Amino acid sequence: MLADAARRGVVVVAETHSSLLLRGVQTLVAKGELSPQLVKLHWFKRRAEDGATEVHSADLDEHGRFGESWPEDFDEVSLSAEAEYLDAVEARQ
Amino acid sequence: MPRRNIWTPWKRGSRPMPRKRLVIDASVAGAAGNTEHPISKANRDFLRQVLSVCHKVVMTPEISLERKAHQSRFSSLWRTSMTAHKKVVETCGTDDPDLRSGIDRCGLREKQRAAIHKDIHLVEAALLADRIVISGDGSARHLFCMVSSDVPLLKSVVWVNPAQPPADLQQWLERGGRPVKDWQLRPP
Repeated sequence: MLADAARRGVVVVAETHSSLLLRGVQTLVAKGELSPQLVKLHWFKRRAEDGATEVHSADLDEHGRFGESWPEDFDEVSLSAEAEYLDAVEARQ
Repeated sequence: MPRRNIWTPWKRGSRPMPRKRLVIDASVAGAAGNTEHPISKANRDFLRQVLSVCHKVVMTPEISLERKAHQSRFSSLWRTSMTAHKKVVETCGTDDPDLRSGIDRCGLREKQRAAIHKDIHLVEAALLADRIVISGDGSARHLFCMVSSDVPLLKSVVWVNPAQPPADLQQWLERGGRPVKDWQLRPP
């Protein structure tokens, strides 16, 4: 739905904590169904020293990859949860 | 036994840390998705370190096929994340006829020859990248070490098992993954 709107020329601003949504957009780009030029990612982060908001922006390439400029932790949540569960099971053995 | 610190710290600000292209065997990805103590956690920790440090992973069609056969939810998430961060180097992978014929001339028994050929693609991929193989296969490592006196090219390849690390692998990765002589495929 978001991609359809973007393709029609609508400027869609989506605020999300969902890595699934982001992955969906990446997949559409990788499939060639959404131009990477129609996507811009912004990561908002509060600066510890003065509380000001820092914005890190990233583009997607034609494979839907955002590269190393995108904060690692956004994508790491699922991986950490999986690792934590497996570690816990392993520790009980 | 305390682990020896065998690396000088990377001097931040001097020049960028070299990004190494690591060849990671499917055995590592497979073990990371299991709960076999203490091997699985060691492999998981290693893969997460690779994700957080700047190094990349080499993916040839053969390695990719093996990965799919050993895929777990953890390894699948890891690979997706590595791909999204542009940390996967896709290469076609090429047989090295000189390496293969050199090994074949070493007089190995047929079973040993078959075993070494099963994993030779890892070494071939490493030779085209930064000469680092990460694998939990100790038998294959032993065989490569055995033939390395007759195939000197092998001696340049570092082979590390994350579950039996010869030192602190996180530090090693963070300090540039430079070759360590004791970790290379050298005669026993």
